Amino acid sequence: MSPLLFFIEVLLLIAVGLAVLLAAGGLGSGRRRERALRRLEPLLDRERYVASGLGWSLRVWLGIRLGAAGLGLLAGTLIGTPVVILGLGAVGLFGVPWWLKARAAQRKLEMDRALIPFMINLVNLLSQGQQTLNHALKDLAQNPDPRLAHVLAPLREAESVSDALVEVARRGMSPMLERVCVDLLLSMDQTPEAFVEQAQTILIPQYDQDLEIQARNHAALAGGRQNGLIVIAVMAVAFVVVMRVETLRAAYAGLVGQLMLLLDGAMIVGILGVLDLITPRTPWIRWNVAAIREQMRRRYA
Amino acid sequence: MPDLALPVLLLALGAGLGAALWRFGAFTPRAVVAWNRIGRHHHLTDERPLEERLADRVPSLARFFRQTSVPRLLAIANRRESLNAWLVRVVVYVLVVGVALLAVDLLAGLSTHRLPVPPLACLVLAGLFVPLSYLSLQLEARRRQDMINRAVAQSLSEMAILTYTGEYTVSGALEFVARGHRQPWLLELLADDNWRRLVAPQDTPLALALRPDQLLSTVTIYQRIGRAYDLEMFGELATSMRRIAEKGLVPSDVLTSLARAAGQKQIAEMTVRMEQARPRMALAVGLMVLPLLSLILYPAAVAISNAFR
Repeated sequence: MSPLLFFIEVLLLIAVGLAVLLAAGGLGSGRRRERALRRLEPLLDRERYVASGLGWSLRVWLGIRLGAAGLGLLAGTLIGTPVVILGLGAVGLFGVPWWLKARAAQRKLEMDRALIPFMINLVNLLSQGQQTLNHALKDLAQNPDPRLAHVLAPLREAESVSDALVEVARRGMSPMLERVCVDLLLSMDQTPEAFVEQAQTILIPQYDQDLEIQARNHAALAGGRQNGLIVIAVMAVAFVVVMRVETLRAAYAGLVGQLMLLLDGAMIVGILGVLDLITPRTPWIRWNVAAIREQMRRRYA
Repeated sequence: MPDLALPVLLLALGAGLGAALWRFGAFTPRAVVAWNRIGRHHHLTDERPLEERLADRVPSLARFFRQTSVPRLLAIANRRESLNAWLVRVVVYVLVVGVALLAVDLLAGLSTHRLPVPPLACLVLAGLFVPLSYLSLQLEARRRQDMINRAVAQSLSEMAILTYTGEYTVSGALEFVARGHRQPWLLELLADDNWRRLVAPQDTPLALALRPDQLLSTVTIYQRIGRAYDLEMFGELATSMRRIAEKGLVPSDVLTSLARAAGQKQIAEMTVRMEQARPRMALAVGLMVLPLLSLILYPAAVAISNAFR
């Protein structure tokens, strides 16, 4: 028997054995699908976060991402070489959102900054002793800070303030806003005096601290992004210079030249990835405000 | 040069056989074997595994075994599988990768009737999946530890609000906030006595440990969780709860101070990490030289090679 045939037989036997093992392990079961969906959720959540930071819906944001990619591909097709087509497509798909994410993060930070004056105003209103927490919240939502106007909209015509707070957290998609909503929900049943004391001793100092961490997070991310921009700008200038010289451009016309360009592109993406990886950030715990509301309701059920 | 493969193989087989005979007691004197049998019967001998006995003598080894123990990492990462199931899974993955590599090798060799890469190299490459799986498990465990610590640290103010009116105890407030987190890391640890997975087996063999069915105080439970899972915040909570019980302090005040301290710590950590990241970022930006040089030097290399042709 030829050794190659023997090798094929051994390979086939191992493959059949593996198929049996994997089938016994339940690779195709629904649990795995669930797990795959659960893994996909953080990705979608990140996209939702950016979309809400820019004040757009998820659909509009995904449309812009796809549109930018399409535009990049179209521009690449008009210019010519396959690498340029791929490169511009990638710039449209990843580069444009990367640039817009900075704007979204800045807007989120501004919104978080407006939360502390909001809480101070709430405490001031309650200190006068003429309103409950529910009424004070509705009052403040009538004439809010422009940075909070969109997220506080549900409080304006709300019948149930706790339901409106859940909607506020859903709209804002910011960890700090979620925390504020949770704290307000937890304080709903307390007297205004108790809330004022809690807000002054526990909540407002805590939000100050949270905001400082957020600002540092933002500064670190902005620094990383700036470094990334330097890399991209230098490489773009070098690329344009090389392509404008006839003799240099000729070397990249062949298949190997195109592969070299792909390799360079991969290296730049790798450097940007490394920059993203080493940028320090403090992860935030996200709150399920609806679950808190249900727990509060169940307490009296 | 003479072929050394056969002598090395024989030597390895001999060493393996010698080790197996030693392990099964072929070289142990009869008197020692008899004593071992009597000792085992009367519980007079140390029956613990070798690594535990070694760890007793060398504390650094104990730390190493503790940090690298796969069952412990599985419990911290909240994986339901046992050590054996994990091993079987890793072996299956190694085989899948190995078969895929061998298949590619075979397809590549079909035209030339010769395998481009020896099959052993494919299997060695697939074998790299074992350390990778272990590293991924370790990373998952570290991440879960970090997230549970953060979940407690970032919920202390909410716990302070809940305990403010005296309606909730500290442990009740912790369970309440755990149910309100979007990611159920903390809840998974506290719910259904999951924490016993790692805490119970370590404590029961000790002579002074409490009986398994005996009721434990929340402070003791938190302390044990903190120690077994390396969760700093549970240790802090246990200390604070002890202070509340012994000195009669107000829970919401203690939790507020703890929240402030945890926040300050986070800010300090962030500052340190930012300073540490600065030179690394400079290094990463410096790596830009590689694609830049490649972009400029490739046409030069092509021109030189054309000139020589």
